[in-house]
Parts: sequence; structure tokens; C-alpha cells
Amino acid sequence: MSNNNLIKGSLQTIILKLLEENEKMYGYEITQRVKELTAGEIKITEGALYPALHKLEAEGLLSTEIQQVDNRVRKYYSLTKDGQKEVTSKMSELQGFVENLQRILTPDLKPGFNI
Amino acid sequence: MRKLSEQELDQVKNAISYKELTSAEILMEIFDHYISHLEDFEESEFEEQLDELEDKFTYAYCHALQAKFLKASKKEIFNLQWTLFKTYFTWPRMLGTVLFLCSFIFFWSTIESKTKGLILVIPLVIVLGLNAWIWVKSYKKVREIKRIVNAKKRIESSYLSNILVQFSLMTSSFNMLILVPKILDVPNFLDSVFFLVASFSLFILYTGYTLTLFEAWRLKTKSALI
Repeated sequence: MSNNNLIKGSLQTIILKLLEENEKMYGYEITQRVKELTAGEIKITEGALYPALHKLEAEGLLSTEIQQVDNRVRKYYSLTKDGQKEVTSKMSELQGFVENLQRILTPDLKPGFNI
Repeated sequence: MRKLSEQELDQVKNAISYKELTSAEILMEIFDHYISHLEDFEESEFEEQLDELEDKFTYAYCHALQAKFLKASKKEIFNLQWTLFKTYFTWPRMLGTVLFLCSFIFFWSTIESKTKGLILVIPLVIVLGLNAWIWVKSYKKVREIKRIVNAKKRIESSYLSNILVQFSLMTSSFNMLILVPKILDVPNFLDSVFFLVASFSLFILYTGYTLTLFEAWRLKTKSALI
């Protein structure tokens, strides 16, 4: 998909935001939720998702929980206290970036423009 | 959403076992991803969807993911240890530690060399017992994953080797304290000032490191396969 490179930089923010809204989620559920929210426009590839989840877990932003589901074991991810703080900072960072990008793309917009 | 048939489940297990993964965490996550995905499709689409998954989760990708996870798990344990170390040493605890160490030095100076040697063996025995306990606990958890996924290779938690290796390194360093003077033929090394300072420093390092590692394991054991 052509927007893959654009998503790469904001993948961690997407994951953190989704986990802020949902108490706990597993890998496949995250890919499906993003697909559902964007009507299939954004597809998170498994190649990027799992390394990102493991990195966030190692940084202490996500905690994990293992649960028996049907006849298999599922790993759920949820936000830690540090993760909850990080969502706010990552969100404002991303919003700031989108606003600045908007100003570059449409220079006619006034500096006070907010998304 | 539907349930996969036994035959379909076997196909999934076979496909995953060909990847020859050894990390129980990665196997568990990939297996769940495969099943969750395939359950969303009709029986007629099973083969096509399984092929699609196989294109994404290639042998190389799975092994790269496994290697990255191993690295991340090491970082996670170290971060946990560091956080525990920082939060452990509050003022009352620092005072308690200093008092304990003073009593230890006094005690150390009053005992005979043979007793000193025997005391040094105690932490080694404790660590050995702890290693065995951690290994058994992890083995029991991983055995279930091995059974579900039908893995042909030996699998273990990515956290396990990291924790056991660290405990072993500390044990080896303690052994070195006794072995090096023996090799260098230092006379009465158990009574020498060098030995007292070295064993004392190593004791502090050893105790602090082992306690934080143990606490990190205790925290992770609630959510990981260790």
C-alpha cells in the first residue's frame, strides 16, 4: 500500500491510542480495529505491528496478560501508567505535526489554524 | 466467525512448525494470529487465506521477529531491574542496608577462614535452587504452548535464558573470587585485606543485582511464560 511509509512513523501512536480506548487488545484485534475505523484505507501490516508491540512492551509502556481462549493461548496488551502518560504526549506531537504539514500543503491557511 | 476443523488446525500447526521457532512467546502469538484470521473466513477460503498468512509470516520474518523479541526481552528485564533498584533505595532502606553491612563486616572479621569459605557457598546454593525453581515454573507454562502448537523443536520462553544466564554469571563471578587467588597461589587469601574488600564489594553487587533480578522475574512471571 502506498501510505505504508506514512503509517510507519505514527504506528506507535496508533497502537497507544487504540489501547487507551480499549482496555486490552491482542495483535490481530489491533489490525482489524484499524481496518474497521478507516474503512480499510489503512492496513497495519503484521511485519510492523508485532515488533512495535514488543518494543513498547520492552520500554515499559505496555503490559501483557496471557489468557486461555478456546484451545489456545492469547497475549493481550494494555497500557501501563507510563503508557497512559505517553499517549497524551504522542498525540499532541502527532497533532502538531499534522497541523504543520497542513500549513505546508496549504500555505494560504492562517498560522492560528487548528485541525 | 467459525471454528476451524481438526484437519484445518493440523494444517496450521504444520505450517507454523516448519518455521522452526524456539521462542514460546512468538509461537503463541503467531499461532493465535493465524487462528483468529482464519476463523474470520469461510471454509472454502481456508487454503487461500492460509497461503496469504504464509506469505506474510515467512521463515525469515518469523526468525527476525524472534531475534528482536529476545533483544527486547533483555532490555525489558534490565529496565525493570533498574526501576526496582531506583525505587528500592529509599532513606530508611539505605540506613537499614548500611547497618546490615556494618554488622556483616564485624561478623566477617570474627569468624575463621574455613567458616568464611562455607558462608560463600550459601549464596551459590540459593541461586542454584532459584534457577531450578524458575526453570521448572517456566517449563510447566511452556509445555502447554508446545502441546497446543504441536511444536517439534524444543521451545522455551525468551525471558528464561536471559534470566538464567544472568544468575549464572553472578554465580561464576563469585566462584572467580575463590578460584583466582587459588590459581595465583596467594597464601592465606581468605584472611587478606584484598579478599575482604573484593568479597565485600562483590557481595553488595551480587545481592543488589540478584534481588532486583529476582523481583523483575517475580513481576514478569505474572504475565509472561517464566
